[in-house]
Amino acid sequence: MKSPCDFIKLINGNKDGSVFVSMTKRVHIFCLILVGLILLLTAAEVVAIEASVVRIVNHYQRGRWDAPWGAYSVGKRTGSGFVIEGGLIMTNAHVVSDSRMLLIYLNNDPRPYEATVKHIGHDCDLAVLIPIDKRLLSGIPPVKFSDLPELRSTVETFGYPTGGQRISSTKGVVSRIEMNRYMHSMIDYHLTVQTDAAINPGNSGGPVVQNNRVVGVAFQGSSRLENAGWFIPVEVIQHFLIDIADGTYDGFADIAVMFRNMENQAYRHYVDLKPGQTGMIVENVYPNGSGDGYLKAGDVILKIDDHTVANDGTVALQGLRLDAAVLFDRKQNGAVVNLEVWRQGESMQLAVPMGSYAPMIRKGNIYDRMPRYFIYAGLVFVPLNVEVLKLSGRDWDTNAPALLRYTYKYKSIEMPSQLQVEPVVFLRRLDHPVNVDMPNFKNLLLQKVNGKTITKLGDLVTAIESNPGSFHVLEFETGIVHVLDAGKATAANEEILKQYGITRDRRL
Amino acid sequence: MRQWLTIMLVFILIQGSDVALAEHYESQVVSLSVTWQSFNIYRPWDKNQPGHRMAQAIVVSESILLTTAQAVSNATLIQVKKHGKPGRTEARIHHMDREINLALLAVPAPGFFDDLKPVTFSTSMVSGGEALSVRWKKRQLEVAQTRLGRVEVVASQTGSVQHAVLKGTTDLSGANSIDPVFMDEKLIGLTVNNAKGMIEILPAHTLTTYCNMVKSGDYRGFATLIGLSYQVQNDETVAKWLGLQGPPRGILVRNSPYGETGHNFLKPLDLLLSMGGHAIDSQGYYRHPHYGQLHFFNIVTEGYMIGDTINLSLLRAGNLVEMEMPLLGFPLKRRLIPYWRTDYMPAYLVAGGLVFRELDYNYLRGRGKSWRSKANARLVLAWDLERFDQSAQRRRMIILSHVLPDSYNIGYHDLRDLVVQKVNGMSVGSMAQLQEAFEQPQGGFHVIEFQKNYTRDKVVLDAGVYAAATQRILENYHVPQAMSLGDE
Repeated sequence: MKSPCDFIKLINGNKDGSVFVSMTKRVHIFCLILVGLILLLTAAEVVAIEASVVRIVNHYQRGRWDAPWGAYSVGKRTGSGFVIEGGLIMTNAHVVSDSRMLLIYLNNDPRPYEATVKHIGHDCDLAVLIPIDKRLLSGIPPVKFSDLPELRSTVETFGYPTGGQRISSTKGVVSRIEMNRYMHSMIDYHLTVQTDAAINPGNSGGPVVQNNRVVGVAFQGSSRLENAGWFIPVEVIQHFLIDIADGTYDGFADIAVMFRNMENQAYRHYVDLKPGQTGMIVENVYPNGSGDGYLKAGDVILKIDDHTVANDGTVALQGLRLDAAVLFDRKQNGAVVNLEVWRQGESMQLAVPMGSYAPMIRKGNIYDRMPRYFIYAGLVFVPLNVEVLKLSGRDWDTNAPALLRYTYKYKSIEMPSQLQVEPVVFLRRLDHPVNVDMPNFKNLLLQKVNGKTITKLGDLVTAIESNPGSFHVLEFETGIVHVLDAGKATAANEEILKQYGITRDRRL
Repeated sequence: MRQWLTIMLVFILIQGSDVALAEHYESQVVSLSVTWQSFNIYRPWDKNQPGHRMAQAIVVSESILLTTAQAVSNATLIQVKKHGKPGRTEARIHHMDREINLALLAVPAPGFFDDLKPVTFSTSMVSGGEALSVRWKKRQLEVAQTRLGRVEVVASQTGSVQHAVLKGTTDLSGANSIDPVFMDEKLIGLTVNNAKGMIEILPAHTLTTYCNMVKSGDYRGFATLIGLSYQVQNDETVAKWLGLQGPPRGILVRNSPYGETGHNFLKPLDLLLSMGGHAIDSQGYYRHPHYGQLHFFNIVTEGYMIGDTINLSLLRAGNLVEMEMPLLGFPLKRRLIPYWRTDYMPAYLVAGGLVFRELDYNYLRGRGKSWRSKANARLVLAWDLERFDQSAQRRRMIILSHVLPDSYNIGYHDLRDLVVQKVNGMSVGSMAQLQEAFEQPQGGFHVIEFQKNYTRDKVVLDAGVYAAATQRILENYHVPQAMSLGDE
């Protein structure tokens, strides 16, 4: 084995000064040049990756859910992003949500540049930004995407984590690939890749790279685990990019069906599966979801798009065993998923068109929207959502009022028809002589107003404004009743709004 | 010199007086040493390690001691010590009512009461002033100052009776110690709650009512209105809407659950104006002749027993209605999810390794002080929202507590804390119904359906090998018997 110095000697080595190179030496020289070129290209590509990584500063403002007519003070959040085709920057939705002003900083450039959010997918925690100056990114090569990295292969993250202003990179191995919860929305599950490369605050939105190709977007860590971070794989990124190609983001499709495993042999016999058949059982089909009208409780899903479903609800894909839900997740809105279903002892083929499921989306964290509300006679009403529950603090899951927690989290699961209902909460009272004698109950769920059942915030407005009677009677789920003198209440409305500095009585 | 002599004399007199006082109480107050043992909430067929607690009891007759039910709950052995002497004598529960939290003890040993004297109960309903709390500790009688402040109506520590308590402060420290309280050498009550010196005293008139009821041989128990939910209402608009003449008064009924006193008498939107001749104000208070303003639930506890009737006056749909309402208790067992249960073997069923039991407060509280965040969130909400919701068809909320893993129940090993709705097509509202349902498999299977949840709604077991599998699991996990219907 010769060292690089030996090769150099060989090239320059004849005593008479002539250059003579043998065949073996020629091969060695070629290899040397090739290695050099690869090293140069690699270095150049790493430089290119670094050049495409940007720092993002988001000055954001969120609406106040406890005083829904107002907003909180402006906050500042930093993250990372990277240049993709089309003069765009990809990052995480959670980096740029609720943005009032977005600034981007290019690598080794101290100047801030303004940008805006072009598309944002809160369900998959991805967003693309566009600089105000459309030519800004013209000199920066967009990244190239790769595919799902192999388990235990090495990946490198790039970004601007907290603790410094310069770009930073860390290496780690791919330790796990599976469906996981996306914490930004709190309710969505998609494919994720776990790595031990450090993913710290500020890394969010930065590229995760393997062989100079992007294999994911860094997006969340865990305070409970050491050296564990997660990135969004290309499969999910491509889903997002294909979705926005028509100029709008529709979101991920949802079969809106509850499946369970069939690992117990008795259960398989109970549904009359034949030896060798495997699958997962349908327990609930949610009303007006993609599966409604196609699937029934008690059906067994044998295959999804020709992939056999195992009894534990997984499928074999790309050398991995993944939750079968990943196959539904791959579908765009409007695409069809082909199912082989076992129903009452017979096999059947179903082509199910996929769509998003609004009732489930409403359960998630809310971004980029100001709270909806209606104020009448100093009584403040809002739709029930997780932001209202979060008013009870970090441990809202334990501390929020019991009936609100139950209604938000369990009622629609136990009574699926309730998924179509938007519960309305009497949030608080703005004290005024017209209302101050009523018991100061708050956080009550509205059931009826003037005899009309309330299924959404708009119903309340209609029930109040169309009531010809002298009283407004408000009935709540716990049996509590509030009664307002209709004449006095309407007369006091404007005065109350003025007194409490509220410009509008509603945002519906 | 004369001045010093005077001071010495006063000191000697005071000391002599204290000693005499201590001797007086020594013959009326005894200490209890209670060994107790509760059942394991997760392995209801097992008992936990035995524990030990000290308490006080007072002599109420020539052969009976009075203490709280709490003091002797789950007791396996009760021993009495008197006069600070080391000897212990066994006592037995003569009568116990957890609903009001009182118990009478008998001591079978002959001559035990010879050197003891019954207390004298105070007949005046005091609500303020200075008193003395008395407690045996390390063989000495502690006598400490106690100051009474006000009277409130609270729920019993162990049951469902809401009663008046004297609230005050004491110099006797110790959480939940049960200490007799005297004023002018007469017993004015028994401390039932002591939180860092802030105490609640069950007054003497409640103690005497209890003792007299037991003595009469016709013990019916204290009536209660607990479970009745209502809305205070001080709003003239509501009063006008209801058709009430004059200023707002009375409370607005929201709900009276199944099994509760008012269930068949009171309706939502009834405006309850008076009870037993006592006018109820718009905040739910009435004027007590001795204690001043008290919560109206006390009306039925004081002076009425279960089975008595009480006169009601209410406004219903704009009309004044008078009625006689029979009073009931609302024992813990009458609830869908019972509150603390003591002296009770939990009802359970192990079926194919699936461990079913009744949901009760003990099960939730078994998670420790932070049970609200540590226990299953849905079950905590059931406690918050459904605990009174017993019906004729559904006496208990039956849950799958956990699974004892076996090849028979593969696929279900991680299931826990699920509410059972049906087994083999039969609705399940009690352990007896659960047992009955497992005796009727469907087409060779046991089909268990749970309230819809995030984990699993249905479990199917092979009925053909069910008995053999259950037996194998019982042996493997050292479960002595597959089922207990409890002690109720």
